[in-house]
Amino acid sequence: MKIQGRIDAVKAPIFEKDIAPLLEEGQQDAPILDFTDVEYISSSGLRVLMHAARVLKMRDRKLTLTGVRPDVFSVLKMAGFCDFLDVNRLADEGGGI
Amino acid sequence: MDNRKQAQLWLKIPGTVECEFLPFVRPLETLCSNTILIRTPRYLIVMDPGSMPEETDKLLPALHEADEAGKPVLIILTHCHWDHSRQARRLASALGPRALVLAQEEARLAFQRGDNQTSQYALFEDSVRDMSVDAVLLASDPQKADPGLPLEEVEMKGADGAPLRCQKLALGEDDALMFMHTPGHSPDSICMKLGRLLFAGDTPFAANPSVAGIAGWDQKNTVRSVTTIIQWLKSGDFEACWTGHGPGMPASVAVKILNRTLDETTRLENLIQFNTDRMKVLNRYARAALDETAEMLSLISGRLYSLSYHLENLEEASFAEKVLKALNLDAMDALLADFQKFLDEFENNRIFPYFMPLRVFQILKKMERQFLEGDLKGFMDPRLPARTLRMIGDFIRSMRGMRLTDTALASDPALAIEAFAAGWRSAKYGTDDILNSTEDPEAFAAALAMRMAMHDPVGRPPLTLKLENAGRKCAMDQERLTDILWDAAERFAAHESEGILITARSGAGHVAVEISAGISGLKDILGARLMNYLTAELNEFGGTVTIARNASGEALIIEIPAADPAA
Repeated sequence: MKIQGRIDAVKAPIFEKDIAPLLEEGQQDAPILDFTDVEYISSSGLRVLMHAARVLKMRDRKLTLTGVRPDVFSVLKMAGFCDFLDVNRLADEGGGI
Repeated sequence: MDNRKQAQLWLKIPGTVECEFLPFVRPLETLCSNTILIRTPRYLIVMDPGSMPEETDKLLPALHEADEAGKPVLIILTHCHWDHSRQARRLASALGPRALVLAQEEARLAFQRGDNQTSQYALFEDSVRDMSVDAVLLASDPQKADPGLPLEEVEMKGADGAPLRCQKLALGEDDALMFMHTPGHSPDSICMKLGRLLFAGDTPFAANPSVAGIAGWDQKNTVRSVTTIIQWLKSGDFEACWTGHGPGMPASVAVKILNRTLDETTRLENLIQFNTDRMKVLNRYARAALDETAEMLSLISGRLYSLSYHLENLEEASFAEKVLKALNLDAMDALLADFQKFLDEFENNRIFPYFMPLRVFQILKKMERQFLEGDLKGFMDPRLPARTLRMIGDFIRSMRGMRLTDTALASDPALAIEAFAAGWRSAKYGTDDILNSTEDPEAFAAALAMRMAMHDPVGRPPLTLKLENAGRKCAMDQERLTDILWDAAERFAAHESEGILITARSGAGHVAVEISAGISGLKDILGARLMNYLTAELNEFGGTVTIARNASGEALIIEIPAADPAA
């Protein structure tokens, strides 16, 4: 699923609603979110990601983010989110991941 | 509000026999002052016509309705600033020869010499060329006062016992309007007394950000005038006070505001002048400070979420919940989202640039309060909230007109680098707490949370230091220099650098600190938000920040003026 723009307090509820179907029971695949066009993620957006990670962990699945821009990656990494999400940087994908 | 409804709201002025007033209160965030209409036996008075034509148009029906006999209209300026005076001549023209514009002598002089600075017309991209004053109030030489108005000299003293210029104008058999010269906010600021009301203009706001330090502002005179106004309001002679912006207030409330103004004004020394150029600088700084605070908040909240996630996995659900309540993240995020709406309007040119730094100032003040009310102790590396609070505090000080170099202690960059290196290399936590708390479940959860909170998710690549500045001090203090090193080094580490090199060297009039990690693409790695913030922060210290290529990739280079440039 492709996610776009700023995920701030206004957009976070929309983001949460958009990804809800991916978290439902019965979904076979681990969800992948394309973050190429995400330019900023706020506290509210991080909370949605954490909630998703928690739901998926109960089913032994992990959320994957792809195409993460360097500055958004810095925040995710420095906040410790790379410990429980699979986070692939834009640059990494250039290398063939 | 329609004009008919306003016309019904004429209020008796307490302490007068025959005077009534009708206030037109404009919201604080508009660029137009209040206007007060006053109906008296001899004159109609318009106190501060304001700056917006559409607002002036609302005055005319009320004036016509109030004036069956075609009395003279006195358009009185509490001071010459654009937001109070701009519509004065237009209103006078609409009313014809019976209207006179009155202001203190310094206002006339400012208009005569085309002074767009003291009048603040330049700040609003306007010019005073068509402005003039018909009759001068409180002239420095009473003998040279304009004839035509029966102004009577009154002896008065300020709170310090020194003489204070005062005049009286009879409005009928029983009532008189008093004019008192209260410079400080501007050289021509006046207060007026009518019955038991005081009209204080903008003097109560003289210490506000984007107000203190404007052309014509004077600290000593503000202190003197505010002290005197407080004395008047406490004398029992006044019921209420009306200012240039916002609703009127009981005298006791005005005293509280003025006491705060007095307290703040006494601390505002050696201010940076607030003018068009400074407004542009503060605009850039405001955006950068807010963006970087938002980024820091994402980081702080992310660490709290991360910690709560891991604690929950360890079946410490109640402690995990406590972690999420350490800071009111929703309230802070809502403030930032609200700003985004403001920004959209600003970028569509619907908001004047003057309001950008002011809005950011208000938001950051609220965020600062949230941080101070939060309790992150034990849940987070204290460096993160401390850095954020310094960032917010610096912008607030800059908005108040203070120079960051006046509050920061000059420091030797080599010492800042060594302090940073000691922190970078040290173990962040010991094992005693967790070992000693195994008997007490709550203490164990707390020790576990602390240990996990201090876990460094980015790792710590080795550091190499080359300190060649020979103990020379720079204008920036050690804490802020250390902050910048952490900002850069953590991002380098997040992007898997294998080693970080920091050098300090002395240049002509400056000291340079260079941070590199054998990697390129620093613009993206550091991000536009951080780079914009560092640019704005360094600019306040007279320094610069750049990214340049070096032998092993790219380096972040900060140059700060030497504390002793001649050395």
